[in-house]
This record gives sequence, structure tokens and C-alpha cells, in this order.
Amino acid sequence: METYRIVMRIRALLIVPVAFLGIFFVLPVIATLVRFLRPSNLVNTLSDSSFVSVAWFSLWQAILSTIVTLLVGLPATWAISRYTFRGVGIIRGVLTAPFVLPAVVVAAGVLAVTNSRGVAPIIWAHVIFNVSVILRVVGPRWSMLDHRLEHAAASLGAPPRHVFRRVVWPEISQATLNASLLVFIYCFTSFGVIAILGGVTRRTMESEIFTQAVRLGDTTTATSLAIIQAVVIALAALVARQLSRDAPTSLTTRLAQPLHSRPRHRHVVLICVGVAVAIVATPLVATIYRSVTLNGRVDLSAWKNIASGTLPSLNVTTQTLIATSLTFAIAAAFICLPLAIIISSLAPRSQILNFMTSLPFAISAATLGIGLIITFDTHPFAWRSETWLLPVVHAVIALPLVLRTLQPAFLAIPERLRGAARTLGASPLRTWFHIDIALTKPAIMRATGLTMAISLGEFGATSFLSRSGSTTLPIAIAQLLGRPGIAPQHAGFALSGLMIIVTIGVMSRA
Amino acid sequence: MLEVSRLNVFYGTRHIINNLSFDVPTGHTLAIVGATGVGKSTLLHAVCGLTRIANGEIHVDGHDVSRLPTHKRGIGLVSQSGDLFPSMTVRENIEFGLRMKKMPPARRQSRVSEMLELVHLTHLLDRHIGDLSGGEARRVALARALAPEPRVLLLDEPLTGLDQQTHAKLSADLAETLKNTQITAVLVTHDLVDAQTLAQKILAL
Repeated sequence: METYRIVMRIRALLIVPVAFLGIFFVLPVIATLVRFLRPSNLVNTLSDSSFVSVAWFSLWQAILSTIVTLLVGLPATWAISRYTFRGVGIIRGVLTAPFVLPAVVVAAGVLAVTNSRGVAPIIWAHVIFNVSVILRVVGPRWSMLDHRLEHAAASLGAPPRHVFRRVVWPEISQATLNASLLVFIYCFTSFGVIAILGGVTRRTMESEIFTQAVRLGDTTTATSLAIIQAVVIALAALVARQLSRDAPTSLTTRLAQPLHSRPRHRHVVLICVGVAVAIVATPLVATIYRSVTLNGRVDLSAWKNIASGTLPSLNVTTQTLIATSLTFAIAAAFICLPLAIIISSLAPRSQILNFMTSLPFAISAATLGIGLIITFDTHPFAWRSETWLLPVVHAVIALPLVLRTLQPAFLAIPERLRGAARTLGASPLRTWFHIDIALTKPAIMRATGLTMAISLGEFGATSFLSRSGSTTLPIAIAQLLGRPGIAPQHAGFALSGLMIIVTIGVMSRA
Repeated sequence: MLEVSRLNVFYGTRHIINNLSFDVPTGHTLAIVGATGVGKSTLLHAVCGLTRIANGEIHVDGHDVSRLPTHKRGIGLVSQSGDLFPSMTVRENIEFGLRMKKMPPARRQSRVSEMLELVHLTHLLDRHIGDLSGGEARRVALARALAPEPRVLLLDEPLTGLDQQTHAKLSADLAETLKNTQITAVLVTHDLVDAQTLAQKILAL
């Protein structure tokens, strides 16, 4: 049947994203495992007390970061999702913006406030990042909860804590668990934040993988650490899955539109939102402040240096840095978007593709970095020094998040609209273009902004693959803030300020 | 002329359409009536190719279209909800089928005006779909389906869910449109009065 043939021909396009992920993600990871995975290596690594302490620190700081993030994020999510008040849109923007900011910029912001490195600044930086995860994942569920259920429980004599436990929690528990798992993974595999705020004593497994592989050239130990890290992430995912199985399930129907009302206890809402905004925004404001002051006086020399192109102790100009970062960001969007659109429009419910595209969540950027160095080291695939590999890797890292932005939009298109287009003479390709692409344009724009923001801020894998000539803004910021002296630090803060402006600019246009 | 012979459609293991045959002479309207769930809409979807048929044949003006993809059958469909494209204006919705036929812009424009006159909506040319009333949306859907001059028009409960006044007005306009265009049509409805008013022949499922 002709229709069947047309559909199958279009479906064949799915080979493109599968091959892309296969070559640039699955192959490097498997090649690393095959080459270095030996039980004896794992035993050696696990019996080395310095690695055990690194693993232990990675674990407890991630758990602590997740708990603090929930303590800050959940009350703010409650206030923003359930109530409407003046400035709620701006507050939502302030709390969600850091998610797309480069980790090194957020870390630089915390450094600008604390002027010190260590556990507390690390936790703070992780909270800044991840409050937006709670807001994005739990917020939509909480805002759709029917107020009338809470009113019914209260009218039956349930005090507020019982209303929360019996009515609200069953509705948001699944989303909270999912968000907590994501926050844990982000904190456990933290690299950019540790590079700036870890100092010499605090290292996560991710930063240790980098040190072993790149600085010490010990790929065997780095791979063992990467495997242990992946196992911990898998275990965390299993625990979260088990907990979500035990979590109370909801049988209530959801409202089509969120219900908002004005808060009764204004001061509670104000405190919940105020604390979160202060924690998230202070470091960003401090970054800008530190970039325009020196020893308590207004000093624009760092910005003037940036404008003139010179950066202290770096042999790359600002213009080159910006051009390189923007070129990579645009190239990453050109690679990632078509792949995400192909998957979202042709197989939005495919379990295999969903699994494949979720893998970059579980496998850290450093692990991928090692894999790419090892896999693309020999002729004819000696690509590890090729500049084009960086935007390709950025696209791999952005793909899971971009897909999760696009898929709901494609799934929301009623099948009957496609049917209507076909009865009006549109071929499958033209139906796809005029209906699917036209209706998902806003989501595609958002996904483009997200890809570019992820590429602009990517630090983990870029650290492995970046060469002179392909230095990106986050790499330059980390280098400047890691060097002694006032001038490099000042320039580092100014460059961070520039990144805040550029990233927010990219996202606001999307 | 539309001829459907020995048509069988399954939904999973359920036999929805069982060996159904009927024909509609050119310029005539056939009304299909029946209770909810008997497969009236499925039948229309099978005729225009949106639902796969197990076996049987569908001929339009003597040509077998049962193996052709939907967009090559020349069969228009007006669904109950109208299914207007929300990202387009009234004009763009009506133009859609004409663009698919690669009609030149000047002819397209005059065809759109003609269609809007036919359904008495010339004043809504650049109106956004979200700003239309229920009755207006149904008229635009009718104009959109008629614009590319399909050989057969399928109407899936086009008058359901309207208030009494709009229903009466749209019913009269639809009767006039079907008469003026002399199009071969199949109307699915659960309203016997509509069936008697609009069709020359009635088939009960």
C-alpha cells in the first residue's frame, strides 16, 4: 500500500539520530568499558583510600545539596504554583534562569559573595542551579492540583499538615522524587562548580576523573572511577524507582487549567519566595558587582580590557572567545535540533529511543570526554583534536533536555489536524511541515535557545576536548579564576558577567 | 459518483464495518444514520483513507482509490469539531488545500473570496481561528473542505453541538451549498430531521 511505503520511507530517517548517538555516545562509552573495565582495576580503585574519600565526599555533598535544594525549592514552588501575586512572572524567571547558566559562572557568583572555597559555597552553588529543576518538574503538578480537594479535606476537619500529607503529597510525590533524582545526579557529577569552589581539598568523582585522565594521564583509574560513578547513579535511579512505586498514587482527575488565587497568608508566601530569590540572585548580582569594583571602588578596567580584547594571563582575545563559543552554540543547535525534531515527530513514544536519549543523563560529561579521547584517537577516526567535535558533543549533551522540551509539544498535536491536512491534499511530508512544524514553532524556538545555552555553558566534556584555538568562555573563566592575582580574578568576574548577559539574552529571545 | 463495495474495517479484533456496500450518484447526498459507536465516523475515515481498510473497494468516478494515500484521493472531510488549523487565519485555512494543489496566488485569492461568499463569512477573512464562534468555525471548515474542489465531500456530524438557532441557519445554508455546488456528499448524522432535509438517500447502520 502506497501510504504504508511513504510512512516507512519517512520512518527510515530515524536512522540518523540513532547513528549519531551510536557513534558519538554509545560507541565511546562502550569502547572505554571494553578497553579498561577489569575487576582488578575496580578493586584497586576501591581499595585506595584517597579515591574512597573522594567518592564519599561526592555522595554526601550530593545528598546534602539535594536536601537543601528541596528545602529552598519546594516552599518557593508551592508559593509560585498555587498563588498569584505582583511580580510572580519576574520571580519565576529569576529562579529558573540559573539552570541554563554555565556552572562556572554560578560558581564564580558564589565566590564573589563568599570569597572562600569549600563545602558551604559548593552546596550554595548547587542549590542555585537546582531550585529551577524543582520549579520546572514539581511546579506544573502542584499548579494543576484541584483546590477543592484541599477545601473538602479541611471541611472534614483535617488540619493543614494532614491536608498536605493526605491530599497534596500524593499528587506531587512522584514529581518530587523525579526532581530529587535529577538534582542528585547533577550534584553528584558536579564538575564546573567543583573546579571553581572545590579548592585543592574538595574533589568529586567527576573532577577526579578529569584530573586522572587529563592531568595525570591515568585513563585506567579514570575509567574505574567513571564506572563506579555510573553504578552509583544507576543505584540512585533504582532507589527512586522503588520509592515511587511505594509512593501513594493519585486517582483524582486533573484540571485542564491551573487554579490560582491570591494568598491568604501573604507573609508566608513572601518568606518562601524571598528566601529562594535571595539565595539564587545574590551571587549573580555579586558577579556583576565584583566585575565593576576593585578594592571597594568602582573600577571598569576589567570590562575595558574585555572590550579591547585583552585578557590577563590568557593568550586568547575576548573577541575570539565569544566568536568560538557562539559558533559552537549555533553549530550545536544546527546538529541537535534536526535530530530532536526527527525523534519527536516520528517516534515520540519509542521506548528504545527514550532509553537511548536518556543515557547522557546517567553517563557524566567527563565519562563521555574520556570515551571520545580514547575512541577517536586512531586513524581513520582521529577526531579528538578536531574543532568540530566540540559542538557535536554539546549536541549529544543537550539532546536529552531538548527532546524533553519538544516531545510534549509534538504529542499535544491532535491527530485529527494531520488527518484534516491530508484530506486537503497535503502529502505526509507537507503535513509534517505545515502542521507539526508550524504548531511546534514556539517549542522549537525554546529548544534552540536551550541548546545554545547548554553549549555556551558546557564545561565537563569541553575540558577534555578543548585545545588552544577552541577555548570557550566557561573554560576561560575557570582558567582566569584559578590563577593567582587580582587582575585575572577581576577579568574572570567580568567575563562571568558577560556570560550572564549573553545566556539570558539567548534564552529570552527563544 | 462514489461506490463503496464489500468494505470491511477492523479496530483491533473488533469488526467495525462488516461487508458494507453503497453508492452515491454524482451531485447527490447520502445520509448515514445510526446510534453512537456503530462506526459512522470510522466509515468516513475509511473512505477518505485515514483509517486502514481490511478489504473492499472504494471507487470515485469509476477510479479505484482504495489503495491511494489520503492526499491523492480527492475526497474532502468536514469533521464534527471542524479541525481548523489553530496557527492560521481564516484565509490561510481556506487557502491550505489550494496551496497543496499549487494554485497560483491570484486564483487562490479569488477562490478564497468565492468560498467565503458561499458560507456568508466574507467579513472574517483575516480573523484568527481562536476568535470564531462555534457556528463560524463550522462554516470555515466547510469552506476549507470545498475550496480545493474535492470529487466527494464527507460531512461528519457537521451540525452537532450547535445551539438551536445556529443549527437551523447552518442546516439551511448547508442544504443550499450542497445544491449549488452539486457535489457528491456523504453526511453522517444521528439527527433524522437533518438527514431528511439534507440528503436524497438515507442509510441506517
